[in-house]
Amino acid sequence: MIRYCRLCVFAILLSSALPLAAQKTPADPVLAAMQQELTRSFQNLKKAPVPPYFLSYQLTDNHAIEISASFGVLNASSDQTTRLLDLDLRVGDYGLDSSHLLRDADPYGDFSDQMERQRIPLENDADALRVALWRETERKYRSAVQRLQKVKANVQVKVEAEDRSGDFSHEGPENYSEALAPFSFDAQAWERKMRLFTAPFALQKDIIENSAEVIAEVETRRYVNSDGSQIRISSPFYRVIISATAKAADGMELPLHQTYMSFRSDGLPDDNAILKDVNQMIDTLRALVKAPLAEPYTGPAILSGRSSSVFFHEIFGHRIEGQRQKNEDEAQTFKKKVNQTVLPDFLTVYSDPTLKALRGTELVGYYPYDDEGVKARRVMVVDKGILKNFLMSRAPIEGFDHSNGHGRRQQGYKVVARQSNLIVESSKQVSRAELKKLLLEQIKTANKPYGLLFDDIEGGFTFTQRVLPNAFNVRPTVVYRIYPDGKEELVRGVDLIGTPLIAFSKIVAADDQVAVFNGVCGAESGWVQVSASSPGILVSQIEVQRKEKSQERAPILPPPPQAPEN
Amino acid sequence: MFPRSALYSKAVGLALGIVLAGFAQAQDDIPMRAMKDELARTTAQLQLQKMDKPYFLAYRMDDVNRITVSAMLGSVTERQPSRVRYVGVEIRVGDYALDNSNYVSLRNLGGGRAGMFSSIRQAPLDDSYGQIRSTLWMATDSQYKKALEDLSAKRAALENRNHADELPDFSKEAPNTVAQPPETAKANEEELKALARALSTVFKTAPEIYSSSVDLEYQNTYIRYVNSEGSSFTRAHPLFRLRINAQTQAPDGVPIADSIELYGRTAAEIPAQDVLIARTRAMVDRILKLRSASSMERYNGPVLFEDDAAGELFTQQFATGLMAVRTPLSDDPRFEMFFNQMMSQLGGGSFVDKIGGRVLPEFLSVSDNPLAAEYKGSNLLGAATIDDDAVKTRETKLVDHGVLKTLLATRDPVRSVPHSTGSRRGFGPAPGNLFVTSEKSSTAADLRKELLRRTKERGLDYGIVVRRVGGGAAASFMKMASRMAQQGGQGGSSLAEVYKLYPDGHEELVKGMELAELTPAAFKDIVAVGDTPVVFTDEFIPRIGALFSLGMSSASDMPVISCVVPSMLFDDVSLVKSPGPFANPPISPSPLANNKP
Repeated sequence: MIRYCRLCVFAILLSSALPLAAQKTPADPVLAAMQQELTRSFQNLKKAPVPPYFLSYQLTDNHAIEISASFGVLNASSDQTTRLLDLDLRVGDYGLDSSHLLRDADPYGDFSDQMERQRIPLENDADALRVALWRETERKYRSAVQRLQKVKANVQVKVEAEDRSGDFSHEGPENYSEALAPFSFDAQAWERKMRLFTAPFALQKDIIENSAEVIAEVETRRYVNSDGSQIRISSPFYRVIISATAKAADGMELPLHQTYMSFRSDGLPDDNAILKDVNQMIDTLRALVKAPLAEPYTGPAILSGRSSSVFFHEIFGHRIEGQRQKNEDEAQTFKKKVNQTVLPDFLTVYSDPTLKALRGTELVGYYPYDDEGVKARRVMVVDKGILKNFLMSRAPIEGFDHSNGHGRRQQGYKVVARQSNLIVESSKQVSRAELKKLLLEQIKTANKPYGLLFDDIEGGFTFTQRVLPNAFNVRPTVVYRIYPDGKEELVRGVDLIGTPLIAFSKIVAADDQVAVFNGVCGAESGWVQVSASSPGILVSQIEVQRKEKSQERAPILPPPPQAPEN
Repeated sequence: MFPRSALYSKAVGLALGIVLAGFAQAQDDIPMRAMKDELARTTAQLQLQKMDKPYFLAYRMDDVNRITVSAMLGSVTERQPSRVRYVGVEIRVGDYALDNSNYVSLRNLGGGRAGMFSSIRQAPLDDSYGQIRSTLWMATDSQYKKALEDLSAKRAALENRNHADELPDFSKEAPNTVAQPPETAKANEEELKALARALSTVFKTAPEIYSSSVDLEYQNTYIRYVNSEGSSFTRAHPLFRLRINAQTQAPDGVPIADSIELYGRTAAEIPAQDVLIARTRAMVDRILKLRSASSMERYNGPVLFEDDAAGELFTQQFATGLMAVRTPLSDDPRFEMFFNQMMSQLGGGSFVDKIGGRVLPEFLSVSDNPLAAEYKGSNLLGAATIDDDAVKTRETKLVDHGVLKTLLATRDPVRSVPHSTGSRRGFGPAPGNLFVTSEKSSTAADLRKELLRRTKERGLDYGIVVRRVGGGAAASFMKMASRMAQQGGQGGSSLAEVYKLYPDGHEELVKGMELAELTPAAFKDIVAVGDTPVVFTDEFIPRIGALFSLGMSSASDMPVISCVVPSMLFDDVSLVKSPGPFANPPISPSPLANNKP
């Protein structure tokens, strides 16, 4: 208790001093309106019996054009402009505040922010913006005061928390401003391209579903807080996702995806390169439809760079997110393992949101400041096998008092610590051919009929909580059996499964084929863009299980003619 | 009030008239050709082993062009143009007497390929003959398999019970063909933005109004329909919608909300900008008056619902009972019991058991007439010549001299209503244009006199006049949710504009009142009506039972209907003070307060 009180005095000094320091008016009219209303509302609310100690506004402007096509024809084309507000208002103090986790009381989380959204003017009229900010500040203030009451009761009636760190970290003010990003996108040209990319799928009778989607957007995030921070970040983002699903004779659906992402309008591959990939997808799907079914199996395997990137993101990356070490519903795999060996000593893992590219490939987990206005920075997570640090938002955990710029969210969600660019590096590297040789040795030693090669992967998921087994499922799309004589055979129908600690202990070697997986990751704070990069790895033992399978019988009638008769 | 309406309704008459010219054009229409060809192939060939072939098949395609623009305080908050195309499949196996329809299996309540809404799919925007047929082919295949499973499960469920209801599942109706050209009026985004800004700017002068918004939407839908009985139609559905919402609190915390909601087929049917600004200003003034208005605990006595208030009350509390909706059969009888309970909670149940009985005073009659396009210069939005089942619309006398004659029905028959009245609009039956007519009527002044006479008789100091109920102007989803939340489906509606009327003729505004309980039965006690009915137009929230019928609907909104209803004087209505609890007013004043001179 004494600790809380000291923090409390400190907090009041800090927060009453800084807003005054931050009263400079930014040139950006939206930022200026945000700053004005933040200062006014914060000062007015300070006079209330339960005053707030922290207030932040984040406005996210997004202009997105989405075009999708399948089998050579246009499905949808939309053009949308949004501006969304995320507002963090805290009552209580840095030690214990209204955001404190309610144990056993919030089983499904708090969805009120998604249900009830204040309309925000898209245009830059200061009065209209300030009224919208004022309304939301008042609403959030009421709910924060109510929640603090619940928090105080919850702390009293529950057992003492294992982790007694505070609820919010002290961070200094930040000032950063990027120029407003230009946005150019020729929607009509891309409608043509989408038709072009999907037309080849129409000629394949085994391919039952297909789509190509391009999303071009420009996003500007403006952030102000009562610590005195003012931040403006602006960037375009372009992505193309091509998907196709073939159906095997036994009803199994076989999906393949190809994704391209870039922060630059000229960063996407040209038509010929994409069409080449489309034809490659078609070839792979045709081979997969005829490929034999893989059986449940345990034994040695190679995960290609792309596959092991997803593997590390799922089974490792999610377990080093700070809040998971504090929440007592979480399994806290690594909480007590700081400065202990968690991976083979040849592996080093860091998370670096400041990296824009790696070996010529853009990394979409890049950002200069996180969603709490904290400067992004590189975090050495595992140094030569030894756990050093966690990914931190402004929610402290025992032994880690400060954010390291990993507080992230999708608009409308509460910030938690999330991954950015997760980079796995190996100090021991062999060529891909040597890695395969090592696999053949493992097969012999383990006396297995074959090993597996996971060449491509669509994604995966993992459970990190205590209530369910702490398992992962990584969903490969292209898998080969590798026989002792070196022969490779494409198979289908398995998922890679396991539990984290056993999986880490089985990594025996890495190759020099470093790959990058760019994608979006969904968790408590919504969907965020992430990258993972890893060399291919050899694992002495993995387990695969059968994939779920559609029970739908193939269509009764043959496909209809594609042109009218006569 | 609608200066351009007369001119426009001529245009509509013209559009409905050029059926033959339109039909020639429809022959060249690629999507229609694809739908007809795939329908012909499916009808001739689709059969799984020795199972039932479909006996009825219908395809529908909805091209939806929509643009929404919203603003607050002179600043645009949303702009969203969108263009989508949906196809729907209705497939029936068995026969007209017993088929797969009107059956709910708990397994179907979820999503996925067997889910409730699986019959509607998004289709390619391009007029690609091949891809439209492919989309229909895939959708038909999964719907056919689902229909076979549903029919056999339904037969099994029927064998297990003594089911007295021997109604056929689908009524036989004559085939029809109508070809209406698409609506060519387009909405200009910049013009909509300018209008939204202009209207929402009015609120800048009123910092006492905590939140306000203006929403404009133009949705232009073109429907193509074809079925295996030989019916086909094309129909245009342009709909322009304007909503202005304002909310605040009185200094004591009582919430105050008001709204303006207007519909037209196109923007040209909405009053001009200066008229709208004047109406918005009047609403602002009314809200500011309401903030300082008095409140009262309760009132029991005669109440006069004037103009729009009568229309709103009638559509929400009475008209929903005029729809014929069947209870779906289920694999679990408990579902049917639960369903019937829910139905009666949501809207007092249908009037199906009241056919032949008195539901209104003897001097009142009600009819539905989708063929009427205007009433005394005001457009009627429920006008249509053919319904969503391709049945010709017609005038239906629903209540004759107070006695209920029939209900509005689709091709899903209910007891005493064996045939469609041409009333499928979206998920289920809905009125087109409802007319309440009266044999005796009074001038507005006489109605007020009569109110005061009855007030005096009851020994009350004042009577109550309700000028607007004010449930309108919420998004349809919110309306449906709020209506579902009303226990018993009656009462609980807050009233936007309520006045005490004193014997000397002066009125006093009252805030924070709700209708305590007003059952459909209370409409029998209407004692007098006005002589100048007004047109009230609103979305019609359908009965939930219609969701389980097979009919297709686009994912578009609820049908918009018009009602021509006179002011109504009720002898005894209860009003209560909104129960609260209410949130405290904001701690900071509005930032606009600083700007006020």
